Amino acid sequence: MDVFAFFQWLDTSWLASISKAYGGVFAVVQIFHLLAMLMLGGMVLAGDLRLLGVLLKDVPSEVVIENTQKWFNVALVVLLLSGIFMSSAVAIKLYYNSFFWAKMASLAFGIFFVYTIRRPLLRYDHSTINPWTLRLIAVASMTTWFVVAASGRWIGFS
Amino acid sequence: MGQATLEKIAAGLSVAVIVAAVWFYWVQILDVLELLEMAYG
Amino acid sequence: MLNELLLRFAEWMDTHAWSTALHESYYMYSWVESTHVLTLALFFGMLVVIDLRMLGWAFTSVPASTISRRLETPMMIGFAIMVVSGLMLVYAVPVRTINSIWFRMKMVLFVAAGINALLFRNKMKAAVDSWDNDPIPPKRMRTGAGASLALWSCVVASGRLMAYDWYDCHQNMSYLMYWVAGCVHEMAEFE
Repeated sequence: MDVFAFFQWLDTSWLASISKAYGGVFAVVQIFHLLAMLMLGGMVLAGDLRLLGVLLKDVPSEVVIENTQKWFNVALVVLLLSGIFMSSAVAIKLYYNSFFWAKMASLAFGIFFVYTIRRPLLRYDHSTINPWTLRLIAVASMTTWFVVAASGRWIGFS
Repeated sequence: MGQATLEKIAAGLSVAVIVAAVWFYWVQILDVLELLEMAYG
Repeated sequence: MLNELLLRFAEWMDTHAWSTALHESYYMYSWVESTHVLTLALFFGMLVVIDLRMLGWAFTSVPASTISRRLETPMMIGFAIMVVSGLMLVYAVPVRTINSIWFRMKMVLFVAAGINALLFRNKMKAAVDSWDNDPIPPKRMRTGAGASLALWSCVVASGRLMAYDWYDCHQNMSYLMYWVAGCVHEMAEFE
């Protein structure tokens, strides 16, 4: 698979013709990307800090996970759509940016981890899961999404 | 996949990703320190 | 008058060696800015959870007061870090920030969001017993939560827009826009 060809295609696609021509549209999409990122971050923090026993200790962790997962999904969809739009404006530049690839790698892992590991496991009764496994999952999940967000911010600086 | 297997995979992957993240930031801190050393001797 | 005072204050900060150092330090400035943005996930993230509960869109099986009381502390920790890192960012780039239309908009919205938050809190404390366990809180609470989400989102948005120089003083703008942005020198040249 030729990855560079994809970025070349994105760079000249109809998406890019909008994102490059209208700075205002780009800025608005960027704001939605940021707001969705904050929502995703909030849901990750609320869920994982509950698993660690820091927050909402008097609410069953199953309830916290179920409610935060719903809004996590919404935020992730908004992030992916707005993210693809934003990358079309600077596709070639991103291809050569190492923090972009750090972000993509951690994002891919994050999505895999949430939907094939964290969510299926947390569907079981939490009291039957080893508390240390729960804590490890929580730390790993917060770490992964932190790296995704922080690397994203760093694309702008590098 | 049963719960026990899933739990083992979850724990293993979690440890791996935490180690990877620590390594990722450690390398970056080393980079910064090297730059600072170049700048200020 | 106010514009001149603000600009003089900014120019005074600009003469500080620490301000220049923070501005010119690539890593320090980027780290402070990243902290400011990422701490938002704590402050704004907890706010979203509380407001979604007040709207009846999440955690409907949990008493509203439990969610708001339990998440208040982490939210305020995030808020404190936001304020400190935000002040540092203003201190690093004082003149451009003070003369930024977006920053000015952000401060106005910030005050409005703060007032809304206080009113909301009082309303909630006064009557929470009557609807605490309702999945969907009464309409006045939902309005307050919606306003809170909208106002804080606008605060975040105007903060993000500060990165753009569309309405900076060096642009060609009308007298009114110069006045709103507080471009004292450009206003003087207008006559």
